[in-house]
Amino acid sequence: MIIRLTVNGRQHEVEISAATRLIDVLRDQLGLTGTKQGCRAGECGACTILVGGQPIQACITLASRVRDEVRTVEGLDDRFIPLRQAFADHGGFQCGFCTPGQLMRAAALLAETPLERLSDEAWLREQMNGNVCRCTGYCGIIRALMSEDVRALARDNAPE
Amino acid sequence: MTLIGTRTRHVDWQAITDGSAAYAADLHLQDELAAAVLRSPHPHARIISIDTSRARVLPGVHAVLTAADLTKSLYLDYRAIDRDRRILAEDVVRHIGEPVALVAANDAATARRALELIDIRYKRLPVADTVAKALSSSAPAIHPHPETRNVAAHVRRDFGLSPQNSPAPAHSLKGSFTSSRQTHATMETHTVKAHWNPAENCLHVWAPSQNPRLIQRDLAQLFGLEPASVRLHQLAIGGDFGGRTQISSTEALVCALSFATARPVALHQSRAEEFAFTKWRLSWDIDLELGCDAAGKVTTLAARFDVDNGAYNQAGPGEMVYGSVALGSSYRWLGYQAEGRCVYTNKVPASSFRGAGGYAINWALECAIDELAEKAGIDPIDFRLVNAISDEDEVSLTGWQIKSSGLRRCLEAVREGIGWDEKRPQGGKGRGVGVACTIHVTALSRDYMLRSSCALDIDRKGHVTIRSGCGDSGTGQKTLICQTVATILNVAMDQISIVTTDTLATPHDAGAGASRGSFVAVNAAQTLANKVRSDLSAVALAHFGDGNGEVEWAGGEIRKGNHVIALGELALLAGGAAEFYSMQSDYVGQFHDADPSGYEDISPTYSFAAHAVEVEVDERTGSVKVLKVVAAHDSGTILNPLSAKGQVEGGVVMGLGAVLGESLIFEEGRVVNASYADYVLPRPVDSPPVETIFVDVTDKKGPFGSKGLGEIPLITIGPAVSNAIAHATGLRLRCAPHTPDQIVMAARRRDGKPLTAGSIAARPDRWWVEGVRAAYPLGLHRGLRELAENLGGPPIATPIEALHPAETLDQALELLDRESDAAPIAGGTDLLALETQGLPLPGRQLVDVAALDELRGIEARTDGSLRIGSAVTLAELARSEPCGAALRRTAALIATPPIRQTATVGGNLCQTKRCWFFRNGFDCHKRGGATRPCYAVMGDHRFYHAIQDAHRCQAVTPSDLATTLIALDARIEIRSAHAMRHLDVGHLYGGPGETRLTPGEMICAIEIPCEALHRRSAYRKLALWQGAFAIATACVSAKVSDDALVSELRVVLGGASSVPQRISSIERRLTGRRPDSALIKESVGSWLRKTHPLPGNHWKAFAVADMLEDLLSRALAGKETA
Repeated sequence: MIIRLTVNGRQHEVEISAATRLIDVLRDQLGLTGTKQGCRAGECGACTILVGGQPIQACITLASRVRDEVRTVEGLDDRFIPLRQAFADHGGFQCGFCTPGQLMRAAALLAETPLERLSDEAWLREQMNGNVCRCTGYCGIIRALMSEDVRALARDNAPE
Repeated sequence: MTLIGTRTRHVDWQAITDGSAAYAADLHLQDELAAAVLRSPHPHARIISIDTSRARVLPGVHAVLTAADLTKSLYLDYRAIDRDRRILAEDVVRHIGEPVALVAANDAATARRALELIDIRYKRLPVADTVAKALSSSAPAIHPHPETRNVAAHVRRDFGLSPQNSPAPAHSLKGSFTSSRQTHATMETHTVKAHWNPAENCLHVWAPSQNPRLIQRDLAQLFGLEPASVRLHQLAIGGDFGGRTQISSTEALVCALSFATARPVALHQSRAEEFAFTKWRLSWDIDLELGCDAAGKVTTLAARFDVDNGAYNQAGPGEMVYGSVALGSSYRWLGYQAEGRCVYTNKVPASSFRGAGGYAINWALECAIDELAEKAGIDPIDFRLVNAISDEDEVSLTGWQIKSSGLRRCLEAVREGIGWDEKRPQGGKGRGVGVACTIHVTALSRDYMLRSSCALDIDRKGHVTIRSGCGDSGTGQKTLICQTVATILNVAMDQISIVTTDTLATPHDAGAGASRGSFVAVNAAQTLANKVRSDLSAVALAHFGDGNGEVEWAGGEIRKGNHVIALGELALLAGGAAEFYSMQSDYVGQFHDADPSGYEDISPTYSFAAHAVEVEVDERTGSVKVLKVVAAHDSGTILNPLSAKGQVEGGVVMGLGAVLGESLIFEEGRVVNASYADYVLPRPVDSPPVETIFVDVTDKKGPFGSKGLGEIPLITIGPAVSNAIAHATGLRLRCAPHTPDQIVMAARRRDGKPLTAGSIAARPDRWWVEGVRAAYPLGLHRGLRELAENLGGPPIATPIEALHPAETLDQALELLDRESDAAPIAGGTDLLALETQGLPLPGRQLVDVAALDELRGIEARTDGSLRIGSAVTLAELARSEPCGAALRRTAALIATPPIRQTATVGGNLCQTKRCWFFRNGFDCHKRGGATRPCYAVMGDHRFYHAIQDAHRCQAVTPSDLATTLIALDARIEIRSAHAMRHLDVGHLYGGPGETRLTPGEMICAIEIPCEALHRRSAYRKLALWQGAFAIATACVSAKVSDDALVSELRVVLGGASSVPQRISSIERRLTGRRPDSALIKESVGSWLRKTHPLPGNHWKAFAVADMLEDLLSRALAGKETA
């Protein structure tokens, strides 16, 4: 079947089967390889992307069921530069393989979270619990999310 | 301006955070073929015949290879003398997953189909899948060559005083320790591409590794090429931790297929294959005997150890030899003797892992030292201050010579940081602090380790391109090299780029390993930059016409007085016709050959660390919570505090995994927990904050005074945790990881409590089950397994065929009725995981019901009852006020936020069982049919199997919601195209994760009656990590009058038997009473006696009983309302 997908603001028509997973469309058909496959079972979060603004795992999503706009790490616009920099400045990544998924999960949090929540470390850890990182011990990721620059970003993008 | 010692961003930060960093799977080579590997299904078997003719003629297949088609060369691996491993098994397979045949085809599906067409016959051989079996007198010889059967290597050490000549110690300790079987679990699975290009006489390889030159070397010798004809290309590396530092078993497979096809070939391992068929950390069984004198000074150490090598030599023998020396090198022993064996077993080979050789011995020794200090009545920090090797110029009994040491300061720093003096006197009450320390090498003083070359080019714009052979798998080594060059040439970081790992473009470096990078590779960069600076300074002086004195380097310019020249111009001047300047230099440290006695100064310099941790231990449930970690390190000058801190934090958390949860579980040589869900590695919630302290030390030898750091954090944390648990509970645990079962049972042993829960005497009706269980080890298991093998493997599951959208519920029900093999899909989180795991799906004609209005929404009805649509997500349920706190909490503790976002109530109730044998490829009773055994009876059933009422299958129903919904008297509304019916949730299941829905039926809603919503309800869950599938769940719901009279009591357990159940014996005893703690205890005890656990899950019955007792006391008293 042929489906229409809007990814990072661009419309695509792709031919898929009923079993095709969104991660394969993104990576193999659209060449958006920033989204990583870590487990193909929804257990590690490396493939986290946004669909209609909600974080979902592309590896356990059937492509033909996707109706809303898809946003991947390649589609994180300039507003999110402070988030990317915070990951770099606070040790939020080492090998970088889980990083696109971490960033997309974080981007969703910033869009939906009241500011005071972002200083609650225990809550942040719970929210990030679906994203496995084997390198950092999570310390740097949490530091990045609690940094002043990321708070400023959340403030600027706070839901009305 | 110096960048040394400054927090400098990783040089690849932009590419890593914008998704453009290219890992192996992100490349697509033109005309790329897909590889598939036929692997041995047996732990030990002779290959009788292989017939590939049917596979070869399958359209789309380009090559099918077996050992007969390949070179007979052996892998080089770590030591030439240990070589025993081929690319494909020739006549005997020695572990499950050993590659036997290869296919290259147009796409992965065709390649996999071709594998099914290869006809192969095996004759099973006796199996030695454990060290004990391999060393027994009846063991089969796994390899013909060792002098002593199955002993791949042997080592004996004798330093200082012999036991006979040593004074008798005043205090002594004997103990046996077993380390965990940690696996690397890099986020990127092994992914390799290769292209043999005959025209170029070049084998191009894309293989992520922190040590590309070792892979180049091994591939060259395997295929009879010059190393220069093998080119590894630059790649982003998705983690290494020692798992890819040497060649694995994937690279050569892809190369062989490319030789056969002259096309690029790619192999991408699945996560399950990654867990099951790649290297894991060598596990050691270590017996220690050590002592100290009356003043608390250590006397002698004696050790015996056996290292589980797996079926072939990789790092095993070498690491054992190193560990045999390292064990005697950290304390001021008067004498040290050791004897060790590296033992072949029928398992996937174990090999190097961050902290290689030092990990297991340090964990065992630091636990033993702590216990010895306790025996001597000396504070463990003081004991280490007195006894640990820690003085500059001090030489260990084994010849290690200390160049610089901050160990004492590390110990003092953690004493203060953890609040030792205040907390240490208060142990034994479930909370405790522990400490451990470590000495570790910075590279090994061997020829291959201490050589590193580095080159750079400067173009006409003054841009510096560094070429280093190092491999940066995330450690930050590239950044350190750039910082070094930027500092010496005084140019900005954005004027510098670096090429690594490409073996054609870069000069030789031995890659990352043995914590050598910050010493050797940075030394090479420093040597190079100094040479460039002096060379170009001379050119500048000549250009200035002022031949004497010094020039100043600043901001990309070179000045003297009024003279100035831009670096780019100077490069042109020096480069002449080349139009750029180029320089290479070589660093060679002082190395020597190993002394057979083991006595030598094995490393250029040594790093030190001390860690202290605070833990909270719940002996009743066995959970350990790490509250705080203070990690103090002497790694000399810290070149980049940002990346250094990351190395410590990451190493600490990985080390917490190894001591508290991570361990591969093998059953008959097959990995049982081959998934992220089942392999317990640290997640954000369970990981503590880490306070990192770097003590100020400048090493005499290291570049800028630096020493190694990558491995030592992981080596130090484990024993600190074991020692903290001992302080909190008095339990000295000597087998890692310290999972809840260990703690519960050790505490019961300490307290003299019974170690078996229920017994068959209390449940005479289960004599038949007991009889079958008893028959399993007597031949039933083996008989069934062999019968199953003769019948062929389990049915091959087929993927999703069609997805039918539905606009209305009626339409959906009609589709479910009309299509054969139909099933609804809502969140799909379990359905797609099942497909990945190769398990049968509930249906292949899927009807999409996620968006149906009729199934959405939570409706509070006028009669006070609640109707929850089956397509309500768990996240919505967790937020829903009317559902009540117990149900909200149940939902909130299921899986992880992204799963809860998608997964639905109906899907949670209907999910398939999570038994790890069933999920991870075992051809069990439920997968292959009645002729198959249940692997849980004899396999590892500590966590996820029934403790009561199980029959043929020991699995349980995995739905946590079911537990709470039963307690809330919930009923399910079930519809089909023709009818509607209601069913109590308690009647939904006919077996573990098996519903009584008939074809065409679907759960549409859950109804909770008004009365239940007004009862007191509370919920608990036992799990190995927050978000994991439950070990057990419990929900209590009751009406409690103002004067504490209990009525309408529901007590429900999930995860305890094949289906979630009300515990009527407890309900009966407490209903109509005002239960006090004695009555609650008595009622729970009555249940406990009637459980029927398997040998390894009595602990679970005790933990569940304690959880129930606590939950009942608190819930009925109104103290717990969720």
